[in-house]
Amino acid sequence: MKLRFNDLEAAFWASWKVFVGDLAPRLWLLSNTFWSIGLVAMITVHSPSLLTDRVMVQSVAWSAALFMGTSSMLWLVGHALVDARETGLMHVHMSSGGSLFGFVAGKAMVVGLYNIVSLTVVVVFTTLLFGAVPSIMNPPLWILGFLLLQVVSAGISGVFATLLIWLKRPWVATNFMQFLLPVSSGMIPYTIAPQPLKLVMLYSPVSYPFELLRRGATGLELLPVDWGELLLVSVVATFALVFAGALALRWGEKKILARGT
Amino acid sequence: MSSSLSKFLAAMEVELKEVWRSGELIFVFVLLYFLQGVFALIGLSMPKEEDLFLRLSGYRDSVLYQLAGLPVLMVSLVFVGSMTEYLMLMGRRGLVEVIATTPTDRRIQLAAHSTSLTVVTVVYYLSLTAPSIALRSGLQRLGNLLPALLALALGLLPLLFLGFTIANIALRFRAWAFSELVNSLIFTFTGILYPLVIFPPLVQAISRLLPHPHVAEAVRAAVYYGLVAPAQSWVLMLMILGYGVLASILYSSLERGIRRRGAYEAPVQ
Repeated sequence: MKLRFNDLEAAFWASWKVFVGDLAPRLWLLSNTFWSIGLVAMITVHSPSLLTDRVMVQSVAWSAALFMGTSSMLWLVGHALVDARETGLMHVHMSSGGSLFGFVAGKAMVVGLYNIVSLTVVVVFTTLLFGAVPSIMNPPLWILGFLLLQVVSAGISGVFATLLIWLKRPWVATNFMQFLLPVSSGMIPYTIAPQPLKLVMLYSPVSYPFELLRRGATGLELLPVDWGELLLVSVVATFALVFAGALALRWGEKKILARGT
Repeated sequence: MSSSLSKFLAAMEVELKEVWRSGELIFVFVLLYFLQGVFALIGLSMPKEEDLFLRLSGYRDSVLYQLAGLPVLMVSLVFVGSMTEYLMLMGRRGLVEVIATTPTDRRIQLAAHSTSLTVVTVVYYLSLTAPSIALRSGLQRLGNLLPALLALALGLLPLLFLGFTIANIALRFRAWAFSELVNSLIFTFTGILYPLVIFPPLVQAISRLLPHPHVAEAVRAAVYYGLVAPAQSWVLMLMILGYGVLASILYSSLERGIRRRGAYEAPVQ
């Protein structure tokens, strides 16, 4: 079964229409803003004078955005197959010859677009609330970082989605993953993280696009890598994870077809 | 009265057996322990400004401050989420109409559900939070955990009533996302993980109308000093009464609506 452009397009528009017509994404915009304010306060309260540092407030607000972005990708895209199975949509999709990659990728595109718009709004509001002025130091790199971060999270969610359909309690795995992923990828800034976590951050594929995004936004260089390495690893990690996601979904597809359920 | 009690006990037995048989309890506990670890890791990693934190909050150790308040936050988030899910699930299964037509008051059912949640919370507190606090503050504060548990037990009631109130409102909106919105507000604006003084006076005033700042403060004071101040007890009693009445009024209105229309339209997530 090959991925046809029509599959992707159909999945994109189906997800788009459900997303736009639903009340939940509008409510999430509000709740994400509140979570972000809370996370910034929770992190900085140990050292309250950080709240007077404009760059630091923005940096921590992007940390909160990393958490919410990866979390929504995992819950919405990572759970796409589990939800489709529960609603019976998976059976219809497979029996009509659709590919799982197209199905998940279409949804990931919608969630990625939503994340880019909503998280920017969230960070702007959070930064303003704490009395700082939001700014973007290097817009092209910030946009590239944001795009790569969404794609890399989508790749991970693709692998994750394939694993979740075999689990009895997928919500447990997602709850762990939604904290492990951002914490291991720069949610706690590299410069203050404990030594073992620093090592994990250097090997996490999400750390690099996130550093690109945060560096592009604030100018702060937290991960000890130069621009060239940062760009190279971000792009390679993104391609590798999208490929891994596609492979995992194809494997899942074969397995489901072989089992018939 | 004895008939109501026996119905309550029967419902309670069913609830606890359901919780136990689902096998999810162990996962929830592992997850909560993991979350505490994440909070502690963030707290321990950050540079500390103890004097400034003391001026803002009245306490010196910001990590212990968060650890002591964490159970209040977790319990409240679970109550709001679980109550909403419970009512929505009943709606989807068609149980709302069934229970509305039987002579059993659904409040007994909900009280049993709430009590089983409370039992789980107390076990959670004793097995997870207490060791973390002891680890952070040393064995000298171990004796303070009993009054802290008392404060938490007292505080559970208004938190439960609030959870039930939110669940009723979410049911009217027919949106699960509404409870997520409320949980984000609880996380951010109730001063459980950081002092409320960082927010403008209006936000502080609104926040103090909720039970969370009072319950968190009572638990925290008990953890630090080993006592529940009488003034705090009165505030908690007032919260129990206020939120109990509010939850009851909202529920009665929902039930009247179901009886009037003859059916309840099941909400979709």
